[in-house]
Amino acid sequence: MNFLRAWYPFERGLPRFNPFERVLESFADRNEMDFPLFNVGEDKNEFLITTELPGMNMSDIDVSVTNRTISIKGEMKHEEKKEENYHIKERISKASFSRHITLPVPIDGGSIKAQYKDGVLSVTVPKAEEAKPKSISIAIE
Amino acid sequence: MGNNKCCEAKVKEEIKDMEGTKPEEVEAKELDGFDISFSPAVDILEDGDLVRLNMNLPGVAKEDISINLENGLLKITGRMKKSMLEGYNPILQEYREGSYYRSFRLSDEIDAESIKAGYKDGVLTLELHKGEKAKRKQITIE
Repeated sequence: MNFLRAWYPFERGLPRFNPFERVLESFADRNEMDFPLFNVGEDKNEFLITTELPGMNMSDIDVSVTNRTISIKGEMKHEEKKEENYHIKERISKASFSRHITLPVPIDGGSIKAQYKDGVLSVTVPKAEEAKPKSISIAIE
Repeated sequence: MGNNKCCEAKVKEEIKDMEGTKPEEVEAKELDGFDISFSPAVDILEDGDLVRLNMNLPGVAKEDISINLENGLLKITGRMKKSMLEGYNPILQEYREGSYYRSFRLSDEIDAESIKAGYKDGVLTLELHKGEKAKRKQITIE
């Protein structure tokens, strides 16, 4: 039962950009927790989490937040035909998934926005006021 | 069941996956986006006289998909114009983004005029109909 296993992406170190290495890695530690895959970006004010989920209904995707953790759950179900009707079958036709991601700084959980477009889910997570960088001007006396 | 197997083998000749072939005229430098880096996942299934192709092109806008049929070669290109994370500093990258290309060789049995395409939620759907040629013609010597 590693269903509720916590997942701390930021403790895994920085992303790797060598595509060959990625392929090896994806075979190496493949389990149900690794679907779907996330890309995460950050700017001064917010985080953006994106994930490719082609062919879904927005109503089958559930995004929720607890403290600094964003959970993305859903069920993917494409039309399923008899095996002999297929010439090629490569797409994932059935999958229920649940992944979460813990962000490194406090977030404003009330203003999270999720958008689903062209098969990509993007979740915008604003940082909490106290986590935004501040510049303070110091007067010289 | 024996009959089914026979028909299945025949059907496979109608649409042949040309995976691994390079898009000759679609040079990477022509693309005003990412290089072509992916062969998209596809399902091809048969439903009577209809052959349906479903292809995953997540992240590609409808207007950036081109479908081209020339001399029986069906070429599908999906261009990724910009990264979803543009303007952000990437801090985790589990998947790569890029443009898509895949081609298929169609047999004479497919009626090229009747191909219909639709795109929704990152999935391209093509409907290919078996045309008149699919019905074997008997030629008599006069």
